[in-house]
Amino acid sequence: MKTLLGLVLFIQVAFALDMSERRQAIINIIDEEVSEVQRLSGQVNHQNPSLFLREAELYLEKARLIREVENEYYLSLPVEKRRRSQKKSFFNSSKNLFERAQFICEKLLKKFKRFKQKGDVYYIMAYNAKELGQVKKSKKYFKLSLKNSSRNSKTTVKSQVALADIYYNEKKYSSAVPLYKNSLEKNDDKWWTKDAFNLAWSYFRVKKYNLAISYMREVHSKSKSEQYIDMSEAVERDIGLFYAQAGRTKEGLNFYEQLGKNFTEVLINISLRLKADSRYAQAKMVLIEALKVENNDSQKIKIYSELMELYAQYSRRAELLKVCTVLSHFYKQGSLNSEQIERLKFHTQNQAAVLQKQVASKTYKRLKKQREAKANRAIAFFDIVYELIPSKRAETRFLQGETYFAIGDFHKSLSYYEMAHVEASKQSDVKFKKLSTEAMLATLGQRKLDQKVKERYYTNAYNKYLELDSSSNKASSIFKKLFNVHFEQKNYSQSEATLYRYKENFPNDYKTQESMIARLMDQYRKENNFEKVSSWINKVEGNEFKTSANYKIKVKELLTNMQMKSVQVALAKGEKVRALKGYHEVFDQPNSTEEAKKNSAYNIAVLYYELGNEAKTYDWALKSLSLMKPRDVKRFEDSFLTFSSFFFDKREFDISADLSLRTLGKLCRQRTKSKKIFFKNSVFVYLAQNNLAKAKSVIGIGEKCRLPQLSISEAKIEVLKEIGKKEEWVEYEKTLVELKSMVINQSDLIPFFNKLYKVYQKLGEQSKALGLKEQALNIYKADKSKKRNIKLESLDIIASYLFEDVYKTNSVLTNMKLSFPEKMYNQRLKNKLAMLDRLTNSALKVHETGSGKGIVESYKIIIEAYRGVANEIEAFVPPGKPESYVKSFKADMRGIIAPLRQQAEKYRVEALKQINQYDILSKDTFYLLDQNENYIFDYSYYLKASSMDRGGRR
Amino acid sequence: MIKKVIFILCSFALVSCSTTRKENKDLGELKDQDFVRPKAQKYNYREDYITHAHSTLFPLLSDESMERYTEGEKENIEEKSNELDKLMALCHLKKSKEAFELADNIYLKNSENPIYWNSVGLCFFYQQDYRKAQLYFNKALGKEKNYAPAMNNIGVLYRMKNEDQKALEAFKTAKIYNRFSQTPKFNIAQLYLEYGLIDKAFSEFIRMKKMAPNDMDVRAALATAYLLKKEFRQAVNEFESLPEKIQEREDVVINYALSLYYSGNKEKARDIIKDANIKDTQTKEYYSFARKVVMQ
Repeated sequence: MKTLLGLVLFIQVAFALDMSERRQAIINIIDEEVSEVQRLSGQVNHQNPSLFLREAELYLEKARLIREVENEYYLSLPVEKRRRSQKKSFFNSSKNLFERAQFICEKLLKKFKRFKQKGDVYYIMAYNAKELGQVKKSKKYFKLSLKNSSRNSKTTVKSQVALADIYYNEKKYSSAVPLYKNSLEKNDDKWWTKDAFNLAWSYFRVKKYNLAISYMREVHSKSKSEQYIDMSEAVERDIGLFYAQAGRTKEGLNFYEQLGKNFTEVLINISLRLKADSRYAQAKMVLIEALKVENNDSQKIKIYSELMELYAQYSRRAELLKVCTVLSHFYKQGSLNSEQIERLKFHTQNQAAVLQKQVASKTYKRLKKQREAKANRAIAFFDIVYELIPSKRAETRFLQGETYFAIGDFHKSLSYYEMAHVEASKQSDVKFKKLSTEAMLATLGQRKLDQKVKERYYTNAYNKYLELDSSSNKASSIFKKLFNVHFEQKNYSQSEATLYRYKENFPNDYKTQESMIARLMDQYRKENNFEKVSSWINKVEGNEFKTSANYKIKVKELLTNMQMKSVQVALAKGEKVRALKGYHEVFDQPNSTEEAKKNSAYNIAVLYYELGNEAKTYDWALKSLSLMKPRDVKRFEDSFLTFSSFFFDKREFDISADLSLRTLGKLCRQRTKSKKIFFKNSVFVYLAQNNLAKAKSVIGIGEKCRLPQLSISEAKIEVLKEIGKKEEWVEYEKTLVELKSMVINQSDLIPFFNKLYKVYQKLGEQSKALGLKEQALNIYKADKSKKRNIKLESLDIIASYLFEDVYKTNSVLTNMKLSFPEKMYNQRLKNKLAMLDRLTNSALKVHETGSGKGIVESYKIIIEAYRGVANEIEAFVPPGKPESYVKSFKADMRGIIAPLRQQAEKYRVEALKQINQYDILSKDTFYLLDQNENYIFDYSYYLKASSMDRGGRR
Repeated sequence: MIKKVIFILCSFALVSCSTTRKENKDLGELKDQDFVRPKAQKYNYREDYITHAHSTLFPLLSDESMERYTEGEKENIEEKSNELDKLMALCHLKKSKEAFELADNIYLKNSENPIYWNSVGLCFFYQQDYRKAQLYFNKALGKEKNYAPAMNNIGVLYRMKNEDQKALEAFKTAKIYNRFSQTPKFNIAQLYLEYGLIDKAFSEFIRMKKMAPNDMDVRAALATAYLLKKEFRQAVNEFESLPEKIQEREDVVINYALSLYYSGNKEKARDIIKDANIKDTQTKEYYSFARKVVMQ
């Protein structure tokens, strides 16, 4: 023990000199003593354990000093060298000495098992091990030292302290506490403050804060005395933490105030230290406690700044955000200094960036809640950045938008992109204007984004884009989308404006322009906004917009449909009055399309027809006709036929004929069978009205329209009849000539040739007359040879022509008078009979015509001739001849007369048979009825015939 | 005075009760029901006869034709009968204005009825507007293909134009259309008689006499047929059974005189022929000849 004390004294003395000199001096002393002790030990044959002990102590001391030198040397080396080299190699000398001391102690214990100062030996071994860094061994030996030392011995105290230190260093504070406490109770040397300081810390560590504080205070108090090591600085440095941790911050504040120190500064320093020790919770706690008691803003700012650093270091983002938020308020107040501002900027930017990166990463993709929380935090950080860095506001908002976009909160991202755009616009930041616009567009393209939200943003986003780019392909697509958005929002004036802008930028894309116009017009049509539709039609027609020809037609059709729709609905419901009024309105409107007017006029005509109003039906039929193109008229030809028939039914002949004529005019070039009907109706009705001029004009039109020859000729024949009635012979002849070239059955014209023939005959124009007769006969022959059907009337006329020769022959026969002399008489009789034959033959030839009247007349002529000749012969008395001659003559003549009369009778019977068989109506029949030519009767019913009103009862 | 007042009041009543015909209403007066067209009646042959038919002197065709009705008989039909018969009567009475007004009133209901169109045609016929008459007879045939009255009337038109052969064909066609109708047969028989197909005419008139013994036209024609067959006494009997005003008719008187003459009653023949009042030009020629014969 004494030796130990002596050693200590040495050290103290050595301390007074220069360090290295002192050390060396001490080493020399130690060497000397070692020698001395070894000598002495040798003298007792190494049986004195105390000497062994002393030797060990000396070696231990020397080792400690050598280690100091080695340490100094090692630390003086450049870092690189130290890194490259093995540290152990620099401490070999001291190590050997420690091992030597160790060896001696082990030897001592082995040799002297009952040595009473084992405690000391173990203490040395423990201390040795500690120097060698063999903590386990050291601990073991300290425990052994305690075990083998008396309770109140210094070795025990020292061992306790040393062991407590070990435990303290091992952070086994609960183990350290009793050791420190025991040692402090027994020992009150200068190290008391140091050890009590550790005890205080140990209590602190085991959360016995009050004891910890109590000891600290005692240490601080004792440190004022020179008797103890001054730990006041350390206490002042640390007690703040103790107070803070114990929640006795105010006491702490008082403590420091009494010292004239700033508690906040202290706590900050504490927190820094704690932070350096990675004691995050404590560091935080300290600062928070500091906040509780600090009223001064600048101090608070310091605390908050430190908290900010702390939180940043330990990635406590939630708390960091709160702190940054507070600091940002201070910033706004202008309370932060430049460094603080920079630090705040740094952290907020950094955190925002980190969080954003995390949000965007795949890591948190499936951790929605966390991701959202991070996103919200990032946003909040960005909000602070926004305040802190005005120059980057556009970027900040943009990044906020990106953050929300990353978590799929497209609504919020949109609003931030929009804000970014606003900021970028303020700052004329083209880059972020573009980025934010594109980002908005990208967001708007997200399916998950609520449609209503989209609708709120579309317009803005699209317009923003177009401000930057209005001519690219993308811009074209954006224009279309913008148009659609306005349209869906029923903001049609804006849609129109967009269309105009599109036209300016894409003047040649008429397809798109067409489709936009079409949509607008369709909408206006649905709204029955006739004015708008018609104004757009005017624009299209006026080529204000480039459109295809086909489209122009469709546009007009739309207007027409619009105009007609409501009216047609009324009509379909049977509301005919309303429909009629509607059609009138459509027709009268100046903007109505031609199609609508035409449609209306036609329908008005139909409705008036249904009402039975001829005048109005006609009026509107004409209007619709004038508006219709020929193919339209063809489509509705049945209606016009109905109208025309209706007028005829109502005995409105002029309008009936006129409408038929006009309709024919329209259908002129159309292929339709109804042309013939209109033509015929018009001609026949005009003729019925005795309007020959009109009938002729209709024929003229019919010819221009290339109606069939049959229809034209049929009409011309009727006209010819009327011309004949009027006795306009020049025109009659002209028409007849025209007809001759067009009629197939020319024999139908024979009655007309005949009429003209008679006229010329009457006028004494024989050659003309004969020419016509010749033509009639030629026609007859030609048609007969072609076996064409020849009308009865024509046959009767031809028969009458043939009879002319027959009558001539008959005249000759009649004029051939019988006279004597006998020879002459016989010759004349012969001639007469021959003539009779010829007459008969030529009369019978008329039968070939097939004319009933001709047949009857021919028979009449023949019978008359036969009877005439028979009567002449019977009446002839030879002049100047005797009675007997006459008697004989007469008897001879009876042989000729009887056969003649028989033949005449035969012909009569034959004639009557034919008359009855074929119901031939001829007045000559009366002649044939009377066998003896005695009776001449006639009859004609006074009414000619009875009209018939009804079919009669059945 | 009171009568005047009553008259005026009645006039007012008539005026105030009168309504505008729907086709002439202004747009503002129109109603949807004005557009409703009454259903056009279709032809029903069972109703195709003259109701309240009555002809004292000429009953044979009385339910088919008003041609031979007296004015009084026509007026009777006009007053008592249905609209179509009334139209017919007005046409026969040559009250064409009223007839056409009525025709317009009943047009919609009867637009599909050939009876209606036949009557309109006859209205024009009696105005001697034969072209129009034919157009409407054709219209009637358009509504009912085999409508005998319209075809018969076309035959009558041919008669008016002296196209007797065509008339005969038309009457024959009408006869085919309706074998029960007498008018076409009557007209055919008359044509036969006029053109000397005596036997055919005779057999028809004998049949008709059995059907309507009191039809004076039938008896007159039969008398003429007897004359043409030279059965003078029979002819005289028939002629003498006729009322005086029929005997005095132009188409009867001459042949009546000739019948008397040829049957030996020359005195009476001469009296009759002397008193005869002949206006028709063609008949005048026959009259001159007959007078020569009778006055011999």
